[in-house]
Amino acid sequence: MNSTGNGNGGKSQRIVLGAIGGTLFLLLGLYYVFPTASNQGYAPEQPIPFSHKIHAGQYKIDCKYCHSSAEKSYHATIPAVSTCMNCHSVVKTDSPHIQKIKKAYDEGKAIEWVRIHELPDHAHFPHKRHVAKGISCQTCHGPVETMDVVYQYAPLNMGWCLNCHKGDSAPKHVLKSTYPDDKNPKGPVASVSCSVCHY
Amino acid sequence: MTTPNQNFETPRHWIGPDELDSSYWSDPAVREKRSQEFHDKPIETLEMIERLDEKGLARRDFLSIMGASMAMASFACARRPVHKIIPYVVQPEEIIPGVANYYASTEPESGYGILVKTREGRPIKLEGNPDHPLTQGKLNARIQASLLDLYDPDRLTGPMGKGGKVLTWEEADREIGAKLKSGKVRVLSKPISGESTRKLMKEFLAKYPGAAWVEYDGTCLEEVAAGQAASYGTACVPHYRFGEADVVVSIGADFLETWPNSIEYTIEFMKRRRLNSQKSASATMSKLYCFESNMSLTGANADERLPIRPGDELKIVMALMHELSSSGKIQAPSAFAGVLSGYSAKAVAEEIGLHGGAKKIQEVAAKLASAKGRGIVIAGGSSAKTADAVAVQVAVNALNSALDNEGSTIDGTTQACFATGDTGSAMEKLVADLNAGQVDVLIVYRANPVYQLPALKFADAMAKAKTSVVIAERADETSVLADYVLADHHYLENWGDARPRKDLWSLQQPVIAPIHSTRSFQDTILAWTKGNASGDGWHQYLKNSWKDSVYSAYGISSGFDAFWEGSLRDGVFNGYAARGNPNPKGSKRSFKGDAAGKIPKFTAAAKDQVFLSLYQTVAMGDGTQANNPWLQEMPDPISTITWDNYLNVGPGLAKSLNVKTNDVVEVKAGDFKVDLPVNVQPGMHDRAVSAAIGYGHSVTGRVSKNCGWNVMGLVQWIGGRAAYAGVPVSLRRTGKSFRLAQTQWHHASENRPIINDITLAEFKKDPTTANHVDPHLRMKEVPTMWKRHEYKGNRWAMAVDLSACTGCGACVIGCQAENNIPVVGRDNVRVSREMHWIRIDRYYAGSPENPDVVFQPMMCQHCENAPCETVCPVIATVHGEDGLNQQIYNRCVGTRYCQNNCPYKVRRFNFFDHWKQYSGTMNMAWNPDVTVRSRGIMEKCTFCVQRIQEGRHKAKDQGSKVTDGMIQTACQQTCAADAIVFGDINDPNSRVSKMAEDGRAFRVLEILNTRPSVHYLSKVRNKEPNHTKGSDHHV
Repeated sequence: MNSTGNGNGGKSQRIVLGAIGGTLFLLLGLYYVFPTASNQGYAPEQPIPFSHKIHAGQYKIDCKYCHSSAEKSYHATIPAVSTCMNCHSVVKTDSPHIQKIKKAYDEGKAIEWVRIHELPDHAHFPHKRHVAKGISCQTCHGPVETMDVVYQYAPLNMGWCLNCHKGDSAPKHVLKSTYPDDKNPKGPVASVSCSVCHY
Repeated sequence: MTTPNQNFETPRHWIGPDELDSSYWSDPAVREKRSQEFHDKPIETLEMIERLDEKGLARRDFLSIMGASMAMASFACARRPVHKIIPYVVQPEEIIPGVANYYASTEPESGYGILVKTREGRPIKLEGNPDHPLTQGKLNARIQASLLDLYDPDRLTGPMGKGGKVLTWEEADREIGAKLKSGKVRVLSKPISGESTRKLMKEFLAKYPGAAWVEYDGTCLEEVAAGQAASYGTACVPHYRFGEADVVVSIGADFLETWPNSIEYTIEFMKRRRLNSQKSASATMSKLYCFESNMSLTGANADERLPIRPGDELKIVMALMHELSSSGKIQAPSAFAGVLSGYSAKAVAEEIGLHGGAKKIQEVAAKLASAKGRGIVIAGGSSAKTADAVAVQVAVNALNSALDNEGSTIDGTTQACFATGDTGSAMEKLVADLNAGQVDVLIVYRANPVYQLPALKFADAMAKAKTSVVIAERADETSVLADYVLADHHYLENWGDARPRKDLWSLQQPVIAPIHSTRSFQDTILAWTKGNASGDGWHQYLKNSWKDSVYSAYGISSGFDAFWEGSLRDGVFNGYAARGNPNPKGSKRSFKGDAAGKIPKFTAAAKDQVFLSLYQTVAMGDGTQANNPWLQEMPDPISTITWDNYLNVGPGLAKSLNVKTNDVVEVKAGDFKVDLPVNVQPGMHDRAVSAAIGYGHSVTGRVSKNCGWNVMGLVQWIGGRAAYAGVPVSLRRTGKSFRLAQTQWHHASENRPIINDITLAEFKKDPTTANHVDPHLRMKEVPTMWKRHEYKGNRWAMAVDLSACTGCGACVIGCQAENNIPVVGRDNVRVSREMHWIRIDRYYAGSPENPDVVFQPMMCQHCENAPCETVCPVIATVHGEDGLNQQIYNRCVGTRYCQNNCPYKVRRFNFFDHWKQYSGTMNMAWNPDVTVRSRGIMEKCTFCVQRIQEGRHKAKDQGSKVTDGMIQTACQQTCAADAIVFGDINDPNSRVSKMAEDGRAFRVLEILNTRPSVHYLSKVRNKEPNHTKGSDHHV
């Protein structure tokens, strides 16, 4: 009896365990296939605790002073070490972090920043087109001038992109410049064709 | 199982001779095969790959790996991995990350001016330099593919001593320097046209008394130069003005592809082939006759091609001369009198068994006579390098002089090319010197004589040199025998120059820092001459050399620095333009009568003897680039075979030998024999066979391993020259077979008419394609239940002029470089899994003995009613507002329904992660503007959407609209024949709109109502109409 009972119990246990395992497997699989697709809020630690609050907020340095390719290229780009040294060869040279930068500069070694904003390889986002439209950096990157540690402000997923392209969340001035004769313009303000970004 | 169909109508266009037989079409197996997208089913395919590829994954392993990777994938963390951004320390002024820079440079061997597209300091694509007369913005397949040679992981990485002992450059210089001082030095290289390198070599030779330099390449046009020297006094390759020629007669000269300067020749030749339907009544075209033994690209583009045996070339030229002089049209040089009488048109035509008989020779002669001073007779090139090749050249020169073509369409004085190097006798002497033990140091630079010249037994001779040094980019048959192997720069890493013409100076600049610890040949020679190996030695030397031989010689008024900067920017200094005459006419040279003494008497070839010619293919050339995967996988334009060479056998000879394509035969000439698989090649003479050189290397990289067979042993050394053609061979069926990876059958459709060609006479009478062909091919309107799309802005479209397309395949490689198209390997090509987005379909028309050839570039047709779009279950392929059929990789789940539903068979599926084969430096060749596709993804031609986006950005940056010609697809950009035109069909003034409206225009399979965006313009041939449907293959 006992042995039979045990056997039965083992079997049902196995079924239950199997069911739990299977569901978990399925959920994990689903999570893999449909991940949240967003790194919103991602604020990794950087090799140098560079504060945008000080540079962009307090000292009001123009974003494009450092991110100089934003209006010329697909990429806004992270500044070269030499750009830091433009000021820091004289400013705050006693800070250990600045000394780290100076050392890297003197040794010709690059600084490896941790990438925060990252689109998948199959999405091509031209910064220059958006800057040319007069869209402010903050529209997508948030109040960077208040951030001590930069985090990903927007979800940067496709729905978020399309909301703006379709006009729903587009800045007013963009709507106005796209439809100058329309009193209450709705959009779209940009193409929603797949191959505009995906190729 | 087959029942002959009584109503069978021979198809006008066919892929292989089988299709001309009604039983082929009624064979159920054939029907089944042709209705399938894939000829081989997945499981059988896997099993086959398993059988074929020893190192490939076995099927069971494959499944278990699949299972494991799926399980692992499910448990993988969805959070993205941490990526680093690594900016420059000091950003170079000229680099903006994400923006390409273009630099002008030169490929030194061909002298072609190139533009190198670089991204963040690494070259990613090569294009022609628009300011360079030789390329005019266009480039051929081989030079485009040379980009991969730069990143080849099998390159030599530094100097080595015997047995691969790694040396430093200082050690190598010290050891070799000591040997140089104490002995006789010989340098062997390919011909070098660069003035600065030549100057440097002179200094080097002067430093070491007794030193000599031999520039020899048996595959270059040395017989043309020798013939010119005998006829006119100067060894050179003349410049041919195809743009001014009404009649061109080529005798084995493949001037449209494998000849030097073929890009300019294609551009010039096509100038006389453009047609406008609106002025059809007064249309004119040049006429190209081609007599050749091997089916070459030029022959395929000829208006009339006449198969001969290798070795018949002289008979044809002499028969033309006989015909012209006996009819009083020309005065043949008196010295020919003794031999000329034997070469009557009748005797020659009968002996050769020429199609059309003596009448054809008379016709060609009459055409030449009617175009005095506006004709070209041209001969030479590797498939016509017979033992009497110089005599052929002399006869051709005599003919051109008598016809007043010399000095008119042929320029041997002003624009002539000077780089053919030394004659075979110099090579013979070098081998004799080596064998006599008179050479202490042998330096071999960019030459592979051990592979190229087994007839001279170079390997044995080389062993007798006290020290041998090879300066090369990668290991080859010669370098493995050397005492020292010095790794050379790739040309994209080096300074240099080329002088393709007398007054044309082409400048080469490095576009990437040396990837390995290589050193340029010139820096090495400088170090051995002057003892200093300082970093910019050669750079400075080149600058000084240009100051003397260019800047001062042409009396440039600006400062030298400005001149140098300007030349660097332009990549070329055109001395003709500087002298105020960019395109000078040559002066007429007079034919030296005594040259005729070289012509032998007419002798009939042994009856039933089969003769061989060894030719160069468009992709492989002389085999220097054998380790280049793009070139290995580029289908040959004529045979569409990849990865291997083979023996071309005509249908008649194949029948008598009882062989089919893929059967292996033994080819024997003298003591040498080699087994080659057969390709039954329509248009070959019954007593002619041919095989490509450049394959079958015994020392290879990982790509060229087991690619083809070495046929160089069939080259005969006769009278101080290498004879590549006219070699008598015996053939024997072995009973073995080898499956060639041929692509043309992969995309065969169910014999629906998809191509059209007409004759000039037909075109003049009525240019409208619709009136000439099967009504199924051209339908103006098809009844439809679909609502038409509305295209408000641009609508991108393409037009392809089949009359211009030469089939050269430059577009295939251009597309591959631009769009990150992977190479799949021979086994995958065998099962129709090649990935090329643009393919060139080759069709024959007429009889298999001597067919016409039509090429059709086939890419995604971007249909308005695209069959692929309606079947995709995940909407991964959608229609764009600008007419593009978009393939969205990130949505695709790989059902392959779209591929099955595509009537054009242009969709390509990634069965594997092909990009994983790109190891190390190869990864630097990717175009960062285009997604690299992974396994399970469908892909196809995008009309170069990244270039469209770039063009739109450019227009927006300038505040203007995209103008016609501003956006060029990669295939269009590189097409020398200008056959492909891309643009906005909504703009009525765009070139593509005008072409789409042309009477010749048709779209493929219009009856299906797919409404493609690609328009084809019928091929027009300048010949007498001889084809009515299916009637002529019995003639």
